[in-house]
Amino acid sequence: MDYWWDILNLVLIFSVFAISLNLLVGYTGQVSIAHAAFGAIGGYTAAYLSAQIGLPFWPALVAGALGAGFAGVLMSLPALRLSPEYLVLLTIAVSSIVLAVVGAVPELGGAYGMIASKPANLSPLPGGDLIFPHQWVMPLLAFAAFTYLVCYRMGESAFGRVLRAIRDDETAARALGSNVFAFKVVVFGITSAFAGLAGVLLFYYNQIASTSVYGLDVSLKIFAMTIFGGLGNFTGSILGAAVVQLLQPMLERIVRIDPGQAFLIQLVVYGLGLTVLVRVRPQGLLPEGFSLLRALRPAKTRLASQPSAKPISSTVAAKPAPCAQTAGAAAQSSVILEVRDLSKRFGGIAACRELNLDLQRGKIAALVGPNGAGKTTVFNLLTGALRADGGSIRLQGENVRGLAPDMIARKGMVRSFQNVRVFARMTALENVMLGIRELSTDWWCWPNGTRGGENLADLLLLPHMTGRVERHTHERAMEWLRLVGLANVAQTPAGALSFGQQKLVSFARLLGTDADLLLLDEPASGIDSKWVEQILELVAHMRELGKTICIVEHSIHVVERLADTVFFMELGHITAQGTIGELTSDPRLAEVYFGTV
Amino acid sequence: MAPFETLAGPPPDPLLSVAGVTAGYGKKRVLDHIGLSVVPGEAIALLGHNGAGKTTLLQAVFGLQPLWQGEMFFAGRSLGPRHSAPAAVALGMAMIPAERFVFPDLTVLENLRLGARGLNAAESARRIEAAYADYPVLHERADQLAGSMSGGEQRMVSLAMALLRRPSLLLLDEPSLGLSPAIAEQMMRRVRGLLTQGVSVVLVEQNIPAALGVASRIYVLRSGRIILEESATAFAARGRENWWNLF
Amino acid sequence: MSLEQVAQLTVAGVINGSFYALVGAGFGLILGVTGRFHYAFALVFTLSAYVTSVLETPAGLPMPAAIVGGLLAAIVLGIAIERFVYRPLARASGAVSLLTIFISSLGLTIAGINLITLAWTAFSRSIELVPLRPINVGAISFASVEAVLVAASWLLILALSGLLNFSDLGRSIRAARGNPQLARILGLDPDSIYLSVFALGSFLCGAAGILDGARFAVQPSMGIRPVMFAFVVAFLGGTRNGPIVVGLAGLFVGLVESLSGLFVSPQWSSLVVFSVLFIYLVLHPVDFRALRASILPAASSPRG
Repeated sequence: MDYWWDILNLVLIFSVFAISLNLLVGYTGQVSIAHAAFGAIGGYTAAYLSAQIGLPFWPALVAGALGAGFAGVLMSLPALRLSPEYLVLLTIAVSSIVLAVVGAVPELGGAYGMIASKPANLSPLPGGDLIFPHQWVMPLLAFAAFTYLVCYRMGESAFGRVLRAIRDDETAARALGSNVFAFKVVVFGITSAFAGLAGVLLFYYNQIASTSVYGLDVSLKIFAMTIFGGLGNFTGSILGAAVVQLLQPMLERIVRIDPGQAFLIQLVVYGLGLTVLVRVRPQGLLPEGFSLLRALRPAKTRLASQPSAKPISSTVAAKPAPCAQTAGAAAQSSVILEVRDLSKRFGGIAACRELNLDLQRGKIAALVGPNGAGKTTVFNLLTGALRADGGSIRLQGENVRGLAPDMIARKGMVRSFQNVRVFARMTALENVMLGIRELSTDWWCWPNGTRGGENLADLLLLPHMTGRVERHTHERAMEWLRLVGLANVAQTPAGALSFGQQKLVSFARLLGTDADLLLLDEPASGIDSKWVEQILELVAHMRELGKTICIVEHSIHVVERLADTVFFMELGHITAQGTIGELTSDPRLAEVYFGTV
Repeated sequence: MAPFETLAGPPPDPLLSVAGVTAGYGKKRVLDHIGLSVVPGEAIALLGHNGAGKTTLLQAVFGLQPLWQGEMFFAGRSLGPRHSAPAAVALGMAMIPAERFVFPDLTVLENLRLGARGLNAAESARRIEAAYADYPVLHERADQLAGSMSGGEQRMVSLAMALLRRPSLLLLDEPSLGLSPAIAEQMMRRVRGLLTQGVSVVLVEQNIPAALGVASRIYVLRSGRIILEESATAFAARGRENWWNLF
Repeated sequence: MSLEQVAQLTVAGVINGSFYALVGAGFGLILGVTGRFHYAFALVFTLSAYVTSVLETPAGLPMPAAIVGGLLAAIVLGIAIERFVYRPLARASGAVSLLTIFISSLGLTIAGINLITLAWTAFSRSIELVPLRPINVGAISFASVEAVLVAASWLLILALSGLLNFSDLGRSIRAARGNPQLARILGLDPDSIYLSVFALGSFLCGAAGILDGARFAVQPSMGIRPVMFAFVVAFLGGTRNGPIVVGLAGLFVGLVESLSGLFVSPQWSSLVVFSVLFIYLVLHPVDFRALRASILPAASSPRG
């Protein structure tokens, strides 16, 4: 019987590993093969402290988890700008470095590792020394449940929504105002801390910390568990842990293979399983979105979308109450964006040369010009996606040049993308909800400057307030979807919508940000004529709502329909300004646009 | 929308004809029921605003872009769903993209040899010699890395490469892009010369006057549709100020 | 720190560096042209050594035949992985294909290495390439097999470089590496170029496996560390550069690893190497979009 308790205990410990890795990989899309190495940091920290200063179980556990969490934060910093493939490589490097260090330092036992000086003891909780496997079961169940609940809370919340947006399209998430770097650091730190926790448990359970316990193959095993169970599916991670851990005992007991062979065969099985699964069913064993908690409480967590009787204008006028707006106190001048001498060079080519631009509040402006004039570059410079070489950009009187894209978005200038960039695996409603946030200047409103579910402190400590904010966000998002006519597809994954519908979703989410200045990149391209009409009407309506809009369009036809003012760009500089009629009657501009012989 | 004008009836024996062509990337539709034709020995130009679908149309004809709908015929043969770039080359088409039209890490000679792929060694050498005669600069710089040459010289390499297999149809994407007016004019003169050698040309161009100097017939694309088909002279006669309506 | 010590370590660095050069060149060719994170390189490495060892004893074949057998096994396995695992997966995975290919590569390696262990046990085997004899040059000594390793590595690297620069196939491969879209336009078939690249890369990989097996031992986990080094060397050398440049990067890594022994004790030396990789990744966040865009489009996107 002890044999099966032992297996259960290992499944529970590895569930902690797998669930936390799932939050990192499945929700945030950051693939890491270093999870066991963070376990090593946790386990070795606990081993060292308990051996050196006789630290009892609970403080050692906390120390191990914190140490691993801190290391996770450190690893995340260089990882922030790395593309997924390089990130995996970085995690492999980190894993190798950690293992090399703990395997070489004599104080950590060198190649042999460290043996526990005394067994785990949960005091002040009752139970005494945990020596036999059956004594471990309840405590480990508690740890696994704790991990599940915390990760679930983080994943299935506004915070988790931002994580999934980062997974689907980091650039778009940033353009909507999410401080992607901060979220990544937080998630790396927390998931590594859980790995450290599991590592400490492994140390006390096995009574030894050595490099083989936490090797790269163990990291791969944990990764396999997460993939098997389904990325984004915590219940699946437990199932995956069970499947992987049970393989060998099943082979030994049921198929009657000797332990040595069984060990190898289980590795072959889960190696092949990984290869086959990633080809056949990348989502893993369980359907995406399935969760134990959700299955048990369907009504509470799925908010029904009620049609709202309030007209849109009142939604815009009545700003949400809880936190103070961070909008500048500057008087509302008629110029919302003032650009002076903006410059950018790429190598020898000046993409933008001393560009000057004024955008009038409440009007629609358009940027036109021949190919290569630099129109999209201007958008990238304004929104902070590209760093300008010189010049100034003043939004509502405040200088925004040099700020990060998410910061600029929160200050009220947002953009759409030519190829839309909806978060394909999230519903249309979630896409819009991502743009909506309650800005605040409270000190604990880091990282996003918001209150509510995106704020970890609020999420974990103030559930009622978080719930209220979430419901409010939900309602407002539905309002915007109704405005663009997509209320009936609110629960459809955005990736399944037609291109025209995706465009409408992207506009709805821009509107959700309440930003005053919207930069639209080719709003009417890639869709057929009936959609074009709808988009044009929507853009005109946005002007009615008080938004200022600037579009880049290649079709003069569309510009004619929409723009109050047109700016003509050639070779990185704005050389003419006026109505489309004025510009098209200028023979010099015609020569520039259509070419000379 | 400007009135759609077509010339009388489909041509009797087109080299290339496409009908109802619809295509896109992912969910984004870029071409919407396109129909056009090219007769042997003529040059046509595709005009239109950036993003209207001109490059995508070239890629579809060349087999680089799968069709969602529509049919294409070349030299009497139907280009089915398995149409691909190797197939296009084998049928006698050649294409020069708008950017990155040489192999920068390879020498001029190596670039040319790649253009002559599929020919036996003797024939390949003979044609490369002929190319040297047409473009003496290439002979001088045969061992120079193509990436270190000027834009105009690279264009010459790309043109020589494309012609080595003696294509009957040449698809040119923005040949004057990035070239100074003088070099662009040289380029266009060479393209005109090709017509006398029996090569038909489909030209995508932003520079309308340059295109009108080569093509005899033009199509205007806007937002994925053809909104005008006209002779080059008629289009030029409209006058620059009236071209805006078509973009 | 004496001059003899430095000389000995330098020689060791050259020997190790030549090995890293070889695996780096083979891996780098695959990575540079196809963009695949071919972790299963470790499996090809290991299988080649095992086949050679088994063909030598107990099958009793003469050494040259055993080597040919091992190299053939490497080529066949490499091509099979590309054709039957990577290619369909890339078509199906679209934008995330680099990641899914890496994952399946990991899975294959785990499975394959343990299958090898099941077949031939975990006890290490040997390969008798040349009679084991110490060679002494002044105060420096090394083994005969190590001299063979250095010579063979650089010969193979030079041969690969020659092939790439002077043959039709090599020209096509370099074209595909430098401008994949234009290669496609000229009618180059990406699928067969990828297969050729995997064949060549696996050939070098197999040779490295045999040399490593002869120098140390043939055991199931022998490929794990070399594939790590192959990654490091390929990135340091640059994925768009030829095998000789990558080889020199390998030599550099070998020397750094070895000479670090002057300052830290030996068990830290692998730490030094991984730290080099770490620092490289931190300081030089290469725009992977360039590599992504440089992959031949047809081979990584579904056909219409």
